[in-house]
Amino acid sequence: MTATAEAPDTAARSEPEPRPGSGQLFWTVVVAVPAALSLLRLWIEAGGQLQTTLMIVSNVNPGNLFAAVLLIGTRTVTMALLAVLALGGLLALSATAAEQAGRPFRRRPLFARCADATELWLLVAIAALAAMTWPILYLPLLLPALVMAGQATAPYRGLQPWERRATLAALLAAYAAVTWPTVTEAWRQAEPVVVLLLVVPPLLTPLVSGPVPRPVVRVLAGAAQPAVLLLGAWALLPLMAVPVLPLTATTVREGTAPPVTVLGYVIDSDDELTAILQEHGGLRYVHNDEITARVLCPSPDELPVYRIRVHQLHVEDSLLEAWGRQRRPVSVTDAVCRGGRSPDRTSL
Amino acid sequence: MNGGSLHLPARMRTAVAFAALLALILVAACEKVTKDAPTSVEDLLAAAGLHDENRPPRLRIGVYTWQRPMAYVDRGEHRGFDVDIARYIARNLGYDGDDKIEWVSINNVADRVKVLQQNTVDLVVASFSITTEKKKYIDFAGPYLITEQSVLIPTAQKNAITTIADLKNPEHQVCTATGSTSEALLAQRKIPYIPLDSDLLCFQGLRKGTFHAMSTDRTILSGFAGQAPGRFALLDLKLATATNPGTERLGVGVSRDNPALRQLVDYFLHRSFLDQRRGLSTEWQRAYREHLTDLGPATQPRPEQVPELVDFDSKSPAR
Repeated sequence: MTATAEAPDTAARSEPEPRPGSGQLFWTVVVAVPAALSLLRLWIEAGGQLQTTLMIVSNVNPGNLFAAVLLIGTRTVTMALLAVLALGGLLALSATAAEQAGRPFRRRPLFARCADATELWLLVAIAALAAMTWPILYLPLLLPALVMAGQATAPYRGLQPWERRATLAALLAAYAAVTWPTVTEAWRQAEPVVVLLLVVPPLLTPLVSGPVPRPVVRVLAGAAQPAVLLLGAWALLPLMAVPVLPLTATTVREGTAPPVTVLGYVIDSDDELTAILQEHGGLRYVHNDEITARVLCPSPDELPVYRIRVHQLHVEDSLLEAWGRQRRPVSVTDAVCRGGRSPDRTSL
Repeated sequence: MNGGSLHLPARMRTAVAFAALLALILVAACEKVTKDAPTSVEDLLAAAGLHDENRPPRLRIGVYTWQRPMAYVDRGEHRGFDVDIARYIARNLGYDGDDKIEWVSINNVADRVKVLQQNTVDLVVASFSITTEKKKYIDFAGPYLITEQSVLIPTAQKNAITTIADLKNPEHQVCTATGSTSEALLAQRKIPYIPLDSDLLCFQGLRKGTFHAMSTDRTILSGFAGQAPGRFALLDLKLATATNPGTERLGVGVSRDNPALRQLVDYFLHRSFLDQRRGLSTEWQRAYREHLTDLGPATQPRPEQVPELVDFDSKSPAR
């Protein structure tokens, strides 16, 4: 135990000092990447048309846009960070074990150094954000991820083995009590992946702590970085497709003509005109006098895939979303939102 | 637990567990990408043709225009229990307000099947009882109301007609609508009757004194009685037989060519049923209170064939 406890010090001694200004660089990236993503999102939002993009850029509040991207991107960012830290914890422990056995690696893996530099409070903060924003279905993955990431921290190493086992047993018992009805329901509905996601991660949690064999460390150290990059890119794809502007249906009546419903995103409104970016493409200006109604419409992305709940909470909701639904349980879809997605459809 | 003294099996165990975890994440990722989404309300709206650009701009609903309290026209406005149920269904299908509904007048019992077969309406909400015979030609969503068959007589006949035996008396002319549930029940009871094309014709005959009694749904008879307070009375008589309970389950008629529309109507009726069971105020209850309160307390029945659909609010705790 004492040898393991000394590991970070050993690692710190073997590494060069961090470059001056690397902290600023990190925060620059943290702020700049979402900002750049927000702008790129607008390009997609505008249907790839330059003039429409410029129109949106000149009218959308950057603060609101940044907040929207951050809101939607939190689960992706926390997923990537936890993947790095979990892998880092595993590699750090393995590298330290190798150093203590007298066969150190030529260079301590990058993710292991990330894990070494991560304070416990930061890990807890990331885990808390993940717990609030990940879909409930994926929350069981947090258990092994936290053990893997946390095993390199001093408080974890300070615990006696029996204390770790007792803590884990208590956690797993509570977990089983909460999720068992959901597991049986998922089994009844023949959803094997849901059953696996609910059952396997907690069972693996006691087994994923500790170092791994040297060849595995080599493979992981080599493959982990591109793998996490790929995972991040894969997770970003849906993020780039999720709308960041609220979808509305505006009912317009031009003279004595029958009313027309325009489905799209309101991006500008002045005393005379309202500019609506239509869902199927193209910008449309509507006279304010001709607007008779406007309602907020749900997006097809919000339709669930499963019919499974953990108690009252839907497994595809995050805890935050589920909490919100408990506070405002009734959600009404307005009739004009039911009219399909056909261009310029007349009011039905 | 010294890291340096760990023997290989323990390290292999960790590696295997880690590999299993990675495999699980991969499986979950594949499932997310490849899993077929369950049928949604939006899917069925498209399958029912309601998103077609070439379809009529308004939802065409067949209703009676004279059948108080179920469906009638009052100062140019369609009113009644059936009409309110039709409006509830139409709004959920995306047709909110009377300017988005084309009310198609149903004149007699036979018209209800005919207009669906000829595709001149999308739905029929016209005291349409669900029977095996009718199901050969059209589909039904519901039931949305369960009513029983009853007998209406002029108050003047109150002492002369009180029992089934009195109805069998050849001196008493009993009228009912052709093809109605009442007709079958009267035949089973061996009560002589005169079939006419509609309940309205029977009632007109009853007012003129041509008939001494008429039989149809209790809901409709209470409406007729309400048109001339004090002149007519509902008999407290059970027409039910051992093989025919005499109850009538009223459903929404839909063309057999459009099963998606039938499923949608059933889905939205079921939502109203669930809201009622949760103690929420529903439009069904409001419509019943407004139009059928004379029949005594009642609750919305559970629809028979409820499809498993997802909708935008499927994650809400209320669903």
